[in-house]
Amino acid sequence: MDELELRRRLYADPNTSDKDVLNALESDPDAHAFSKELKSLDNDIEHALNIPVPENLAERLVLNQSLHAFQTQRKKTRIHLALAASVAFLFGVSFTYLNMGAPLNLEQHALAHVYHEPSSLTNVNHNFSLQEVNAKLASFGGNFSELPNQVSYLTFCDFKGQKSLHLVFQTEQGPMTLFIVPSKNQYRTESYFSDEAFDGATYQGHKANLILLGEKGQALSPYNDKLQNSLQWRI
Amino acid sequence: MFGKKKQQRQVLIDMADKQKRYEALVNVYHKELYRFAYWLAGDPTVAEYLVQETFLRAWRSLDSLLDQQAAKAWLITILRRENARRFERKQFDYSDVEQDTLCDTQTLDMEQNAERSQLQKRIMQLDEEYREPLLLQVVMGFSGDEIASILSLNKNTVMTRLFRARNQLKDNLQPSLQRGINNG
Repeated sequence: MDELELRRRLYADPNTSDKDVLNALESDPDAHAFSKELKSLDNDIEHALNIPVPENLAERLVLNQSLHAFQTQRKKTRIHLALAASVAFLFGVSFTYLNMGAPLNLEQHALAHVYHEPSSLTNVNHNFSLQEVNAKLASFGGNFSELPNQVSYLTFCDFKGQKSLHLVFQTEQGPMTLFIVPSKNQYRTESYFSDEAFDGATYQGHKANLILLGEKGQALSPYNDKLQNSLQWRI
Repeated sequence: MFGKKKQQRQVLIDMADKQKRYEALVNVYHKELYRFAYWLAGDPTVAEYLVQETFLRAWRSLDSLLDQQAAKAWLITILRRENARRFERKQFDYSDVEQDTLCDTQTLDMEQNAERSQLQKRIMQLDEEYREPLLLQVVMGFSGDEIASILSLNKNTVMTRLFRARNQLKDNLQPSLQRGINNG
């Protein structure tokens, strides 16, 4: 190792433990003195750099972190709460909309109801009087002036969350089901529907929806007219 | 239900463990980091800010620090990035401050004191490309290889810069020391 290289290496790291450098130092007193001089300079540099650290810096660093962690934690819970609230809100809104959508599906619900309660059609032994029918209908504010046929089934039913009256008439053509579902309708409309086994007619009246269901092929409209004529509403 | 409770307890244990590791990290390295930051930025306020930001970032990614041996280099890398970010945001001018805020509260006699502050000024006047490797070597105690990897330079370049840094300090110091001796 030449002298220049030795000096370069000592300058780069006065406290080097490089064997080549240490060997060279042993054999060269001048270089040894130079090394000592550099070490003393490095010692000075180290002292000069060794400025005092602010008191409690470590404690402040730990505290700073705790506060920060606490804040982010709080932010997180706030986000969670907001999320939960949003979900609950959406749930509420969609639930309301689903319920409001109910009247649109009166026909489907009427059919399902009849399929669910086949006994209402087969049990023909009862014969409810006009008074009995009107007593129940009165809770909706309605009144029949006369009954077109024998009423073999009469009960309150839950019609998609709406209390309604479920009647079965015995006609010449077989049993016919009538649902009276109280509802405030702005428009009066009539519509017909059917499936494999039943024909149906809905009439949206002023105070209620009437849904008439008969077996396939039954003439519904005469009964529909009769019922509408005999049904009166107290204002 | 029970499983969840157990899980929560595990999370708490993990958090306490993380807190312990963090505090250990702070206690072991905050002084060196502060000194490094001080001499890098030349201002005690900035230095403290840098150290705080560094440890906050370190806390956030403490889980990724698997090797305790690498902690020091890891912290330095964060601090250097934080320092660079400072210049991206705003160009501070601390050239005046540098001279004034160099402090030394250790009790020394006048001459030693003068000599030291003289040396401190010289160090601060070094170009950053020379000052930084010197700080990494003297303050942080990194080897030439480690400095090379931290600064993304090859080792020869690092050694050359260290050589020049000391050389400049020595040359600059000589006349003033001489004068000091003569005057004394």
